[in-house]
Amino acid sequence: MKEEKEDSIDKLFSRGLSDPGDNASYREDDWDAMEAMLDGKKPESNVRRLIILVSTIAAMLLLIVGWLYLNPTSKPDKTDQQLVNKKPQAKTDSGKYGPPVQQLAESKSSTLSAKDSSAISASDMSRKSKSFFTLSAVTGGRSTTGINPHAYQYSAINKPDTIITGAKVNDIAITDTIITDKNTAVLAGNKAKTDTIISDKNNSLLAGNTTRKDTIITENKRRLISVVDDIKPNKKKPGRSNPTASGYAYRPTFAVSFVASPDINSVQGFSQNKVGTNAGLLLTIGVARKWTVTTGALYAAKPYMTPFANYATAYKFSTDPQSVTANCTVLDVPINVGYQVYSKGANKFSLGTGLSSYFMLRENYTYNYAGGYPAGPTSYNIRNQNKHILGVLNLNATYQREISSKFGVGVQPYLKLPLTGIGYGQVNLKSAGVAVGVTWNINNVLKPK
Amino acid sequence: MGEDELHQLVKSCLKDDRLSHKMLYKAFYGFAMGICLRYANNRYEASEIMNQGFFKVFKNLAKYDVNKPFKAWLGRIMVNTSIDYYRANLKVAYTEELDKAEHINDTDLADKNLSYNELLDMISLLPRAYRTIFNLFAIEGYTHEEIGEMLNISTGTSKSNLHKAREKLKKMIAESNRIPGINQTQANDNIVPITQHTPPNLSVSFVNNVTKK
Repeated sequence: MKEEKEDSIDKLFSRGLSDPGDNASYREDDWDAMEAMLDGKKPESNVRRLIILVSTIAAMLLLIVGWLYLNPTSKPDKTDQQLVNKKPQAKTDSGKYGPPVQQLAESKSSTLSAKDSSAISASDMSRKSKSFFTLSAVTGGRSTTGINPHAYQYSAINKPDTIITGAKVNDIAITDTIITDKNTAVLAGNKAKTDTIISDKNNSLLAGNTTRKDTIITENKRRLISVVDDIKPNKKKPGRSNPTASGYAYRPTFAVSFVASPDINSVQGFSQNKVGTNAGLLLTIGVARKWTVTTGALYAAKPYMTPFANYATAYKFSTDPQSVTANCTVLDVPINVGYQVYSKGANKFSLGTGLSSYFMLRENYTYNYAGGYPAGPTSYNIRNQNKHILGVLNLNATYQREISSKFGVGVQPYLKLPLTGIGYGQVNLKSAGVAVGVTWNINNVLKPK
Repeated sequence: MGEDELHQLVKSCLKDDRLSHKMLYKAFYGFAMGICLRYANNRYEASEIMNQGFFKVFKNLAKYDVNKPFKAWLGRIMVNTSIDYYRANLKVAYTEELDKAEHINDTDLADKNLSYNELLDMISLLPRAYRTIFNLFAIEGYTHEEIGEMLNISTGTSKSNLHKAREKLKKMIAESNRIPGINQTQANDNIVPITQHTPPNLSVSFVNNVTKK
């Protein structure tokens, strides 16, 4: 009897607790926790991983920047400056058949001249025009001109702070090699370690050059070489990407931009598209006179709609949906390279390309069925599930206008093409838009080197 | 969910497809939660146990014999996970001495019309050891020998704990008769009941607070 009574309480609970009803209704939060367990980590660890990635990128960029700073070949040579005041006196060459050239130099000019009884070249110190033989020195590089291939070779590293004068060979402290023959006079001033001037018999070398105007006179078999620095002395341009036209060692420049843009997303062409938004911060590093590297982070909302055929899933729908509407939020970490194709005054135009890493922060998919009656799951939401490291190709063109030495505004049409399937559905998600932004040139606050 | 559909879903899960995982999870969520709620102190604990159970399900899905009912397999995993949870929390599990138990007059309990919530409240008020044994014996249908093996206790302990559990439940039912709708009376012990079945709204809405004022 007692056993029966006890049995009845068991039955009471067994029956009563058999159907939990609404008490056990589904909660999305539980799935989020489940998903985190399946990922073998807490959702926060994604953030940690992202920080590590960004730190790695930053460290790499710092290494590049550090290398550019420390690269000895691009450092200005102090000995050059010792030459500057050697010949402070300026004289004008009289021209052809004149007396041996007295090497003249103004500060910031570079002159290579030859002294010969029969060959004279004049140099005009006027700075208004460039020599016919002028070859602008590439930043940190060398320039070489040679009119007569068998006659002379000359190479020099020019820097705007450098005056290279050569009135006499002896005047030049670091002229490396001068070979002169009888009847030939070579007067050269150069600063480079490998500078060499060789003159043959009957050849005269005279190079008179100034930054603005050169006059060259040749006679008979005389050859002449003129090497002119394209120097813009004492006028340091404040712009970040135009440090020198010639001899300055290139100093990496930094700029931070805030950009925002409407973002047109499409999976199949751009006929069926939806508009999202992009916003973020970018760091631009000028690594060479016209080259920049840009990285940063952009938060992007990317809604799109695609026919189900473009959507990949291992889940077998009993009835395939007609289309999928997606609303994804993405952290876009680009690494782009830019090349300045045009720069005049405050206006700059550059082209860029690079790769973006997409970190899918949230993916919400809604499955649309034919007839409106859902014959399967209607939605699927995931967080921090997918990432595509360097999985998107960036193409862009940038117009930038400086509004002051420190600030500029820019417009950047861009196109983002996926190199891999994006998100859970592995869709071919293309994005295009026109970003507008404000740029702060950090470098101007730094002391010049 | 049809058998074929279920098998298809299981196959997709084996390919580690996250959407399939979720569909399977959603499909058996209610069933699994129903089991876990009986073993847990509250809904949060039940969710934790259930997710641990589903984790085992997903990781061991390859071992599932498709010729056997999936629900039974999943249910067994949920029960085992609940027992694991019980073991893990054994140190803090409340145990009551037998002599404290008081005998309640038997009534025709089977005729009682108590709701799911009322019954669940009562069962959640039981000390964890009693609750686990009562669940295993009265609802899951295990024998005392099996329970002794599962919980690593003697058959006698299993029997006595079951008896104590029943006595406590009877007392709670009697209390609920005296004060209809209230069945939260503690059975002469120091257990602090956690009877919250709806999650508290942890997100503080300042806007609402202000507007209410």
